[in-house]
Amino acid sequence: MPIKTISTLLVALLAVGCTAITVNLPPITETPTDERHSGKVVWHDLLTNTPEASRRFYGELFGWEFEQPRVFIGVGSGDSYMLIRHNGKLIGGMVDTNALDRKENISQWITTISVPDIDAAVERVSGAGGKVINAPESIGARGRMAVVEDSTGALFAMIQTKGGDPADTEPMQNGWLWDELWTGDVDGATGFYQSVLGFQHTDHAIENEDRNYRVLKYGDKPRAGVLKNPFEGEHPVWVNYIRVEDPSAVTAKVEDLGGRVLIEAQARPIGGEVAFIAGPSGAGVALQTWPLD
Amino acid sequence: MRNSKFRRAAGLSLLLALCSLLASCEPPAVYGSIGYSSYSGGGYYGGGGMGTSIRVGGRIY
Repeated sequence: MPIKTISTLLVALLAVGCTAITVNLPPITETPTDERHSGKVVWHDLLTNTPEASRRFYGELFGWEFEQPRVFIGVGSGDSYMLIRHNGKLIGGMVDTNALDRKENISQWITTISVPDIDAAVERVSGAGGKVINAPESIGARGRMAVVEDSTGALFAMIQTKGGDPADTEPMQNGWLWDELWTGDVDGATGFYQSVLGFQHTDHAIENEDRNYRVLKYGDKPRAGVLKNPFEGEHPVWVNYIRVEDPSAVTAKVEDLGGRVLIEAQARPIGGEVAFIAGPSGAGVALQTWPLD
Repeated sequence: MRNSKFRRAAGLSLLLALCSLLASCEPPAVYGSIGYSSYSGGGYYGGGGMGTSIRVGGRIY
C-alpha cells in the first residue's frame, strides 16, 4: 500500500479521535474453546500505579512473565496493559493506572466472572442493590466486559467472552487457585450474586473451626467463597488465592521486593496453610497450599 | 532526486508520529471509572503479622 494511502488512513483514524477507538485486547484463551462456564472466574487484572515494581514482585515470587499484547489497529500497545503468563499460559493482565489519568490510587486485583449474556447480567445489578461502574463495553477479541459493585460495595467485573471460557483444570503451582469475597454482609452479598449471576450456595462446617464457610456454586461447580471480612470495618473486596508450595518461603521474600505481609503464613484447622500479602502498589493477594493435607 | 528522498523521509516521519499518537490511546477504559482501591482503608495494613488472630478463608475442596 502506498505511503500516501496509509497516511491518509491514519489521519482519518486520528480525526475520529482517540476516545472513539475501540480497545482491542486478545482473547482470554489463545485457542478458542467455544465453552461457556457461567459463574467461573476466568480472568484477573492487576490495576497498579507501580507497574515496574509490581512486575518484578510477581515475577520474582511466582515466576510470572509479562508481555505486551500484539498491536491491533486501534489498540494502544505501549506498556500500560501487559499480559501475564505462567508456564506458557495466559493467566491475567496488568494495567498501569498512571495511564488512566486518575489521581486516586486504585490499585487492586479485579476478579472477572464469566456470564452468558453481559447485557442481561448488568441489567440485574441495580435491582439487586448493586451499582454499575462501567457499562458493558467491547474490548475486542476478548469480548464484552462491565465493571460493577455488588450490593455490599465489592468491585468485580463480568465478561461475555468471545472465544469461549478456559476449561476447568487442576490449578497450577504459583497459579490461581480460588477466589473469595470478603464482606461485612455475607447473606446480603449471597443474595446479590444469586440474583445477578444465578449462583446457589452451600455452607460448610469446618472441622475445628467455629464458623461455616460459604461456597457459591453454579450448577454443581464450586466457583467462589464468601467470608465475613476478617478485617472488620474494611472495604469489601474480592480476594484471589494463588496456589503455592510454601507460603512462609514466599512471605520471606515479600518485603525485599517492595510488598508487605498482611497476615503471616498460618495453618488452617482443615489442613494446609494460608497467608495474605500486598504487592508494591498495595493490592492484596492471598496464598494457599493445595491440596489441603 | 534529493527532493524525492526528502519527501519520502518526511512521509515516514509523519507515519511514525501518527503511530505513536495512536499508541497513546490506551489502556482499557473499562477500568477508568473506578475511583478507589479496595485496600485504601488502612486496616488491611495494621491487622496482620505474626501471631494474628485474624483468620482468612481459602479453598476447601
